[in-house]
Amino acid sequence: MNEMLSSSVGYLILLIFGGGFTAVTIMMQRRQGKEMTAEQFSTAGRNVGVGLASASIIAAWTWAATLMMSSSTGYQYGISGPYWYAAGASIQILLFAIVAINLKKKAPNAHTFLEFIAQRFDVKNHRLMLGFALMTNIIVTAMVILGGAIALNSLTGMNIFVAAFLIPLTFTIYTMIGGLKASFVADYFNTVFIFVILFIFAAAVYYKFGVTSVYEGLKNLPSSQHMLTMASVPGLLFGMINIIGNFGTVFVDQAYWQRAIASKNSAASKAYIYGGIAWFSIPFAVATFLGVSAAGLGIAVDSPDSIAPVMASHVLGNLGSILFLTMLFMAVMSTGAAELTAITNIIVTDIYLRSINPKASSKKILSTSRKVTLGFGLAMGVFSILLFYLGISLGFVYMAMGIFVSGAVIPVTLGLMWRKATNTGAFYGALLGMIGGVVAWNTSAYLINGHINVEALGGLYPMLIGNSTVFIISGIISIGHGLLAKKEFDFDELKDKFKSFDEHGDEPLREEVAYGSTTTVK
Amino acid sequence: MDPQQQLNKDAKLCTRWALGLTFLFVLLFPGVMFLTGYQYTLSFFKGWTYLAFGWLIIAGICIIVGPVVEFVREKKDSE
Repeated sequence: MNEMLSSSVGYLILLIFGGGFTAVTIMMQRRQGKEMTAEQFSTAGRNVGVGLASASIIAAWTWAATLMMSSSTGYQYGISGPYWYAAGASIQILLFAIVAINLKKKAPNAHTFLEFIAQRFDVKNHRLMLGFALMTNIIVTAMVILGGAIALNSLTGMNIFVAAFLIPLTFTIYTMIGGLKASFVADYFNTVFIFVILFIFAAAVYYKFGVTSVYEGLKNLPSSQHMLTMASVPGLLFGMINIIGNFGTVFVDQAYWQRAIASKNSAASKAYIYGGIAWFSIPFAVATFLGVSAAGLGIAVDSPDSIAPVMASHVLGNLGSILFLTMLFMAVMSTGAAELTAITNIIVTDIYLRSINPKASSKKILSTSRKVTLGFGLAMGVFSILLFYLGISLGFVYMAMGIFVSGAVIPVTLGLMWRKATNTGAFYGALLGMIGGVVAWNTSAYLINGHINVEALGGLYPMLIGNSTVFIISGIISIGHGLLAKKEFDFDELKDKFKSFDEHGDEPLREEVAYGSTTTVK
Repeated sequence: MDPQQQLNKDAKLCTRWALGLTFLFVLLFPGVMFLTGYQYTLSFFKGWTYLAFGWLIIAGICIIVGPVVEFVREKKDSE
């Protein structure tokens, strides 16, 4: 892709938004007039309303890939692409509402979903799920930063390594100061920007080119057979991978549990339903107006992944490029901040307080949280560059991620909602699900292509087989063992086991340190 | 209402909505469209485009206005 803007525009965007959000966070802190506590930092006071929580869920789930890849599917598969991208990735948010409200019911004072897992299951399950959760957060954060750096580099010519260091810096500073609440407020402004910019693009495409010319263009394409119908087999295959693969990136990602934990009781489930319905409109609109329209207007690109910025520039010139870059950067910032607060909460709650310093006071927890936020924010920049050096493509990681992280989806969900879920079923279900998925993925790539390489592994069929196998194996083991073992867990015992960080003093809270072992034979 | 009762009521309601919308989005609508192999006419394509545009505007307004209304209400309540 040719650079459309100068590198100074890239630096200016980083400076304006990074500085702007930091200033807003400091102002908010001063206006509040109260000293920040560890509990406030990690849960935003558990007092977030449905509106702010929905906006935050939308911001966290709007990755740079949502804007770039959804347009690519519209360009390649026609009208089925935007629909499958939107529907295939919004149902996880809708279904997450069910587990979110169950967490509120069963562990109202928990800080992370792993804290619940530690009480519900045993130590080895806690460690395994901790591994899945950290892997999810680290991969997503690296993808987000790298995606932003690649976009800045290709649109402005900004040095990719400098961009990979500066991007995390923009959201790390305000997150370090304001914690989860700052992330919520920034998410709101980012969501507003994304909706407004998308509206401008949609209106511009509609008034400049009209619907008829796009339709006629699509009808005259050699691939018109699948461009103007939902009965497109490649579109359907992509939709299935999207549906299965995205469960892991929501259900095993602390960022989404955190939004339930921070919400008021009355807001938790509604926020996910409203957020899911509203989020649907983002990939649906961006891919229809920047992806499908580009195909209909006959715009040529080297790679379908770059169609969105090219179309943005085609519609509104340099202004379009700046608006697209701003929208992309907003998506990067809000997802990055959400992931960073998630990593911080996991490390502080499930590693630091459980294994390193169970006696830590609220003040100590707060200072540790801030140090972890800063350290991880900067480390993620380095990790993103490492991924870039290894030559791993973003599209490949996006599609393959489900195979590595989705093994934990069924065990975690069952742990929260089913009395009969067992320690053994959850552990082996998650572990063997992942191993089985990787084996099936590689085997099918070999059988279909005769060899295993990145291209063979990236094919639609191996990805679909790998992603489905994870769910089939983990589901059979987790449910099967639960039914055979005939054990039941008493959820009522959990309610008092989670205490506020602000209640931490010199003495550790025994219940928080201990692991759950209350499974009884019926 | 007792907070636990309220949570139970919310859980029932959100389960219905989540499962209903999931069924509509990934099975019912695409299933019918796939099985019939319907090719979009110009008027259907126009309707589809307006749907994308309309959904974006309504969702955008709700998401932008919602938190502002909440903020104002909370401020009033605290005063």
